[in-house]
Amino acid sequence: MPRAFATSLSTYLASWAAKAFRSQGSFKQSGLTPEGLGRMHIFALPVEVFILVLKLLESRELLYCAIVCSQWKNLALDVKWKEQKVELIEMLRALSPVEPSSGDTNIFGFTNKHRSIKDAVLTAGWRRLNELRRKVTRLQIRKPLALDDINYLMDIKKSVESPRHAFCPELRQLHVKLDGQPEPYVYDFLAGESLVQLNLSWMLIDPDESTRVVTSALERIARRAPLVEHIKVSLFRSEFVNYGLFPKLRILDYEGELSVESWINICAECPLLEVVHVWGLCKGLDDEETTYTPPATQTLPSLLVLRTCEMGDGVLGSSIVRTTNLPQLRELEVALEEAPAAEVETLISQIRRRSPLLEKLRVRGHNLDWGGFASFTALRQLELLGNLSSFTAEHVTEIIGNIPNLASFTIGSGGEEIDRTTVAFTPALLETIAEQCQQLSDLDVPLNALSIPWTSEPPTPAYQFKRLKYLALDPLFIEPGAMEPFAKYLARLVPTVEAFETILFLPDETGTMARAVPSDYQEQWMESLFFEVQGRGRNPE
Amino acid sequence: MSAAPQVTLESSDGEKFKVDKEVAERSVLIKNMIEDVGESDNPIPLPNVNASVLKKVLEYCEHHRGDPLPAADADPSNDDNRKRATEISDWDQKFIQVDQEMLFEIILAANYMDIKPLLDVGCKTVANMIKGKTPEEIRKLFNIVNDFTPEEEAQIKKENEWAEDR
Repeated sequence: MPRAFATSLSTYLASWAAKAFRSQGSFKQSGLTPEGLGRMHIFALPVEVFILVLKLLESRELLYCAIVCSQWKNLALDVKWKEQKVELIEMLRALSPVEPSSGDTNIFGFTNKHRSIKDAVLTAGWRRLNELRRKVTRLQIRKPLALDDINYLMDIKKSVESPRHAFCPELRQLHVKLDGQPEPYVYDFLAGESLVQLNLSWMLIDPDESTRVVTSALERIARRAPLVEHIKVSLFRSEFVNYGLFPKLRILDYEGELSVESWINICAECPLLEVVHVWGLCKGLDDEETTYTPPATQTLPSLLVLRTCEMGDGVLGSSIVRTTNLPQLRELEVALEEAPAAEVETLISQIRRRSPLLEKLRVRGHNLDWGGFASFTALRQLELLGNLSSFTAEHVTEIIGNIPNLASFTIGSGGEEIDRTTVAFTPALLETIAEQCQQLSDLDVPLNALSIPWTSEPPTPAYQFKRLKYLALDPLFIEPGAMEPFAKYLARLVPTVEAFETILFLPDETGTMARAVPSDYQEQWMESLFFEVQGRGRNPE
Repeated sequence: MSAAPQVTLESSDGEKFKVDKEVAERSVLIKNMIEDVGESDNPIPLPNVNASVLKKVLEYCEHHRGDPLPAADADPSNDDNRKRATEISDWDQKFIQVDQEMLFEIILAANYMDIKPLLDVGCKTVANMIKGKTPEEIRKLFNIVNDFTPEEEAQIKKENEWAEDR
């Protein structure tokens, strides 16, 4: 039916074109193109596209664009005010711009004429401050205010004390990073119901004090901004517990202590969570003083991504996985460090059963059963960091053979002491792996280049990684004389590689342990490797 | 195994291009069209793109045919993305070394044909052209007439300046 096809296609295209032109008012349409320009002009770009360009510019460049011509002015200023993070101190400072010629300024950049915000506001007038505060959508506070200024801000706060009034009513993102400063709740009145993202970093030496201050600050912010969807909290040795304040939470990026009890609360109070990244210590678990018994399982029905990254022995991630049903999970990162082999096995099969849609998996642990991961058949990306002395090429065969859509496979040593005797990868094993997984897009392996004798003419590998784009050899153990031939060898093994990463090690006197190679030597090695690989088909200069 | 499936594209000035379906589908517009109306030997008309631009766009698609599709949630206002403003791969850099007219044509085509990575390369190139230049230099570069008085210029500057001179 060629005719029917042509008709439907042209109707289709006509609707597309009409849509495209409706939505894309360009400068040309508004009749503003300078006359006599026969050729394609920057004004021909649709407004949406030009905004994409503006978003790539820095604050000063946007100001310059605003000055270029009246057509650009509002667009550039909009991007400058709405898309960029504004420092509170700088917004207040803008009330009283410093002349570049004036060297006579105090540390906050006010001229001595205006010693404080209050002074500046009184000079510039409220009208100006009102204009500025209503424009801001992304505000950050990284520089502490002087005491006088804090006091004045508290005065302003009193005037907007009603929860209905926010100082910056359009504010969507608030970042507060004031480690060691007291009283973060000075700033709670800045945001209102428009707030979607909150980023709070607060570190005090005393953990109890820190917990109290942060909890109080978050409670106050939650009262004014109940619609927050994305929280990033960074605490030191303290814990935030009151998640019920943020029932709309979709993304939680948490750095600090976390008890299993808190995790249970999170699951119960934030059912919309889609992404959780926990970085920190598990508190209270396996602690004899703790009498709390968690319920057997709870469910986070929407969670897509869970990444846990922790200091210590890796009980946080495993207890989260153990106690939580995550039916929609697509990405998981978990450390199972010291867990005994039997427990690891149970946990892994539990993950497989409960999260059948998993596409990306990253596991670290000493007692991994390498071959056991071959049953995650839906994976697209797998990263295993463990004890390499038990790893063989057969594991690769098993994994590659059973996971049809695997696009990236990373194998590495999981944080154990770097000891040459446990680093099992040799060029020979690497080639065997290459034979088995020619489609892989990246690879991260420790490599022992000492195990075959290097001559001035390096061997040609029997197999190549034909699509490998990223290669990390970390750690790489190498003798000084082997550097150049080894680089040549690698260049042949991985002809498509676009990026390398490595840390080189030299054998020390005992021959078993290793020490890091001086950085200039590493650079030299990388240079020669890059020359070998990237110089292909190019004339050396 | 039979040869890779191909489709024919027709530029606004009537020139026909036969390319692998995989290459043409770098364009989300074309991909959706093929999905909606099914495969056919009829040429797919692209009434907004002329032959010289289409040839260039297809050169890009051909080179990037195997690339993973871009994540839909990449936020250009994200800090990291902003930092990456100047980063364009070597091949793309060479590819986009064209005169302004062609650059804007490519951007328009990438926007129309919905080829996000190419649109990104184009936008980054324009952003890089703007970076580090004074307003007067920007006007000269793009042939823009200044319609502000010096007083208006000073006013915009005063009202919107931060701590840029730090």
